[in-house]
Amino acid sequence: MTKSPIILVIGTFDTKDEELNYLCARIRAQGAEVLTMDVSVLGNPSQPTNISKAEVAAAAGRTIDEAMTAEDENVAMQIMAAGAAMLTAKLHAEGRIQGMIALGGTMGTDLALDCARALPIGVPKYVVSTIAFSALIPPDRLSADIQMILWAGGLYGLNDICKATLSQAAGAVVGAARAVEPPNPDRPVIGMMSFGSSALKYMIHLRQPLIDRGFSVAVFHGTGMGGMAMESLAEQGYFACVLELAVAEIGNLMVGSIVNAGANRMTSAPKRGTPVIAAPGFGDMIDFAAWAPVPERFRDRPYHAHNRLLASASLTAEERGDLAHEVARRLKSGSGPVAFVLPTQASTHGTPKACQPTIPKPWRRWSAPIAQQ
Amino acid sequence: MPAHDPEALAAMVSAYRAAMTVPIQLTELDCHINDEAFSVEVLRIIDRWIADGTITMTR
Repeated sequence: MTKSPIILVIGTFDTKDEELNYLCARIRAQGAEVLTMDVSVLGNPSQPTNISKAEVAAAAGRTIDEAMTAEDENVAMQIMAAGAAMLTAKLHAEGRIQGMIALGGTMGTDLALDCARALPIGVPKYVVSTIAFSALIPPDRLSADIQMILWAGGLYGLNDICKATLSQAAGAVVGAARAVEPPNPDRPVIGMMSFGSSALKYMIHLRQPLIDRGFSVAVFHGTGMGGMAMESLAEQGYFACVLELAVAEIGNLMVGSIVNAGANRMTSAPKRGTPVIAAPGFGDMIDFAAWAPVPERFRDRPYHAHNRLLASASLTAEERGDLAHEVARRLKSGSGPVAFVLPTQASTHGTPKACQPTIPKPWRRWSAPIAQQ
Repeated sequence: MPAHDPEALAAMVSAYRAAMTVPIQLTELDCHINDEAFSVEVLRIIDRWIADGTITMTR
């Protein structure tokens, strides 16, 4: 990577001028260069930024006056977000920046998520946010390799707490720009959905043969965020083929579990025309948060807390059938070729550990005796 | 209800069989998803798709 990476610093320089200038100073102190982009609407920065708010609005095909006189702050911000995302992509494509970092409360974060999505995998994209990790962040707006940092105590002015965060953030983005090994652009990539190998073994059987055929193999964890990441890449046409071999995220979506990968899950590859091979992995259970009350409708079913984060419960026969039809509907939502491999012996999936009498050879055979809870 | 339930399994297999209609190319295998036979079939499809150009090997 270049010795002096150029980092795009994005923020509302009217209200966060001091914090952003501190961040820029810390980035420069690491030996990197800074390109500043002001996405504020109403006020003015203490000194001109490299990219002005007017240029941001113009990139969205609008004027800053239109943003300033927009009917509300939401409309204004979306004008700036469109322009900022466009400029972020353009600056990177032109080789003028090697990474981005954005600072935000809810407005700035909303805009920053669009900017991060505009950059390819392997380009450092940092969002320093007062709402990092919160339920306010919709998973389907996250880039597959976004880095978020919680910024607390910095709503109004610098102090030791937020300086500790901002200085680390500066080190992170510069360090990332220097350390990154970007993806090989020439090797076709297979995206595969799976769960851990104690449950599903096909990733072990498939990985090396696929590598031998010349593919790079990216296996995504079906616990919501993994599917979201895979879906966002599928939407960009990133994959040569997608192996949708586990369907639990669709089941989770159908029952309203937070462990889902967004409403569009499993539709991007078909719509893109990317070939898909699918299978009913984990089609008999759903996941939910282990730290929240068990959802009402699952309270009378076998349930197992995998750890303090994640718990699983079984689907009824009827629910599994509904899931099958929903999976089919999504796979048919585009024009891409789809193959479905249906293992008719105990497929998949999980018998929750609570139902197993011993340390399991889990999920191997339906006919293995289990104890009732 | 317990996850280990042969009736539920049969019902689920029937549902997938009914749902995965044309244009989806359905293959049924008398095996478990964790058996190598399952992965062998996935690779067979991939090889066919590489040969007929369905999968593009360049980016």
